[in-house]
Amino acid sequence: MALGYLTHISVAVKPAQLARWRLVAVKVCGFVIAMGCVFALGELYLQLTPPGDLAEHLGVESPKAGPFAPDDRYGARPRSLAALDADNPGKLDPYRHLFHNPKPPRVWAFFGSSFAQAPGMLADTTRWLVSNRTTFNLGKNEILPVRLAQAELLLDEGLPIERIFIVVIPLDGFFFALHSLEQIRVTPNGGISYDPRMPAVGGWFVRNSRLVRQCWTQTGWHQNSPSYPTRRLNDQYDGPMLADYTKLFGHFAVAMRQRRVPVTMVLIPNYEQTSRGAGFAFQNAITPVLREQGYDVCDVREAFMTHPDKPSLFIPDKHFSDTGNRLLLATVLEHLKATSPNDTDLPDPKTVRQ
Amino acid sequence: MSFEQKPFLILFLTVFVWWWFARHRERAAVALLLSASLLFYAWNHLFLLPILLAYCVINWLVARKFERSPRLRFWLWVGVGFNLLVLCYYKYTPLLVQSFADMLPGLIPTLPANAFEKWSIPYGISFYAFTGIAYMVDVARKTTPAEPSFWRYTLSAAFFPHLVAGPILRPNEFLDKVRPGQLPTEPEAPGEAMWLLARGFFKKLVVADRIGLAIDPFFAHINDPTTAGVWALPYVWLYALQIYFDFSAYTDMARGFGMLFGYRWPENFNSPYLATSVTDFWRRWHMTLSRFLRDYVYIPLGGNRHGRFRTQLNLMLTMLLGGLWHGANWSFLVWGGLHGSFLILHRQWSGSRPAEWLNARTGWTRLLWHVVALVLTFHCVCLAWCFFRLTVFADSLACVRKWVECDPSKMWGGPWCDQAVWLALGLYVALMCAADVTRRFASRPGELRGAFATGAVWGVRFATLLLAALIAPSGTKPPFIYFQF
Repeated sequence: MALGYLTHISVAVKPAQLARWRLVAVKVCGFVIAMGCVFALGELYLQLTPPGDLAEHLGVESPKAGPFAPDDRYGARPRSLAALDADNPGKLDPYRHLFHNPKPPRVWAFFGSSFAQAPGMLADTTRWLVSNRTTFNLGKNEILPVRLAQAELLLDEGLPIERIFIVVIPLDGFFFALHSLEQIRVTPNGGISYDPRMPAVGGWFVRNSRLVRQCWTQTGWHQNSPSYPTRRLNDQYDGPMLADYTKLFGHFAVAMRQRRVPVTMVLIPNYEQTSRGAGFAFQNAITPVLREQGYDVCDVREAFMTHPDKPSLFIPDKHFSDTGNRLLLATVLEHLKATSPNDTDLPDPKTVRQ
Repeated sequence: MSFEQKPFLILFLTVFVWWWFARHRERAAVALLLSASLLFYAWNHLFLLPILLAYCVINWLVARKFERSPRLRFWLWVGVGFNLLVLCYYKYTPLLVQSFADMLPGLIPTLPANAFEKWSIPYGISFYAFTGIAYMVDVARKTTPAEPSFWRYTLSAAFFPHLVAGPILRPNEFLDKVRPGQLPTEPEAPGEAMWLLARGFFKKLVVADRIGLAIDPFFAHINDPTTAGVWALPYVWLYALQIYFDFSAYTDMARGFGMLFGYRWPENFNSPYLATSVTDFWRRWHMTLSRFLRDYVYIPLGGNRHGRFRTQLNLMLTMLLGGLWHGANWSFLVWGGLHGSFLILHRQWSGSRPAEWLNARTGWTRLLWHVVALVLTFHCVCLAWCFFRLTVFADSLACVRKWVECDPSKMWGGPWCDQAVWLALGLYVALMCAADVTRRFASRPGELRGAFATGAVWGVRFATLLLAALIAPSGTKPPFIYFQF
């Protein structure tokens, strides 16, 4: 009654203005409600079937499937040898006779990026040129923590590894620019997903709305080190990325000490560092950390930087050519001959290089 | 530069703001839009700019010659010949050289596999060559006057929204609007433009790209053991949808951007997969190309004026040329040939008694016949798409074979069943319904209701645009399919 009275008074005072404001208010209502309805449809779409790029950031709600189980130290590890086998069909077959073998051959196991795993790269080159060692590799690229967890699982399952080689390139360090170890989640179906870094304000919306989460993850601010470009790896590597790197390799160092398996970290330079004069910030940052943790660090940069024909070391996709891989293996062999008394029977690095 | 890339959006916003202030000064507006168009074309491809400019100079000069020279036919041949020769040189040299080398191994030395690896076709050349031909022929036919200003003609030929993938415009649809005193000073129907942009972005970023992610691996491995026993038909259906959503998205965006500068261009698509014959399909699919082929190829060839055989021959020749226009590959010729054959068959069938009887039916019989015709037409078009999508002949044949040869246990699985694809399509349909409902609601009388509905119409447009940007697949966006032509 009172409201009606007030409205009546207002209309009497400024009818045209009131009518205009009422129309604007109604228009805004229509606009907001329609936007809400469309966004609700979008939310429904993402709830029913989150596309792959969003599933990556849904944490344990993600529908991703895989062979992994949660792990306190690595974030994720293969659930079992059977799960690892199923995820790498046929890849373990050539090595089955090695497991729990009472008289095992001397096995070198390679873990790392495509520079170790891809056909013709370091693992294959070693297999062809170092005949008195059995070379083990799965031939598949995995994220950094999983590579270490795989090595630990294989040792525990009875693979008699004499030496582990972890091949590291600067790009491997980029993983921690995207996700911290704490952000790694394993879904109920065994897939790896990540919890995004939450915003300072509005975290509730990011947690509860997939549309908002999609929006947040497209800004890049959900990353462990937001707006850290890959090209900066050569100039600066510190802060939360280096902290996670230290933590991850610290866990692995402890595990390997317990199992008495030596680990050689092979730090290889990328194309930009070798041919374009880029900095070595990544290698410089991790070398002291790794040495302190007890790893045998083999930094091959010198051999590559002083090579007289640098273009011949690379193929067009910036992986190493056969010449590059031979140079890499020769440098690793020289390093082992100089530092490891058990490795005196290795082939002559000079013949490997040719 | 492509419409969905950040540099384009920055360019567009900058140009639009400048145009807004310069729109009442014609020379400044022409200079601004022309500079923006040349920058758009030269972005990352500076070496292509001279080709576009050469086209503009020659076409403008030849059209001006028509007005002064008595040798009209000669100059027409010069102009059209130049357009076609340059087009053919860039598009067909690798195909012809490779084919001759294969056919005459003794005469031409064997070419290495990557002989034409770095050969690049200037993008959009098919479109601006056809727009140029249409202009010269229309001037020669005296249906439009030659444009005296080189800058205004160049703007009409190279205006960035339609430059790379059409629509293929006639002079009276665009050139007349950039003549002195005709240059628009206000955006044309900004609401409709906004909707076209929102719809275009949604079609491309959400639907077409999502379908592409699901089906591209299948087509890449069509002849591999990895796809042995896989049923190809659903993938071809999805490709039919992908190419429609991709190409119509480009047209929607082009029309939307054009409207924001005050130009209204014709539709290019009218629900093509609802066609009930291949003839009907070509009235609904890439309508500006169909119109070009009809007016500048089929009718000059004689059309249907010289008896049944010549009509059929003209139809076939037109479609073969249409196929070749799409790309330098024999599979495009097969694609055109298939469409030509379907058109001839439909022409024969239309005159037959069963067709007349079926068309005279009413009620359920007519509806049933309509559905059968629709399904049949769609599958004829899909059959031709196999040769369009897969340019290696053996791959196209393998794809067609896999329509029927398949392992029943593999029929209902694989990427074509990806829920994200079908739900993206469902979401698109829901958004179209929402837009339609709000538009209808807005057109009803009632002041408050009208205000509410007007707000809702704009709400749907904005939200669709934002939603497209939000739920687009992340990572590198595939280019528009028609950019390669």
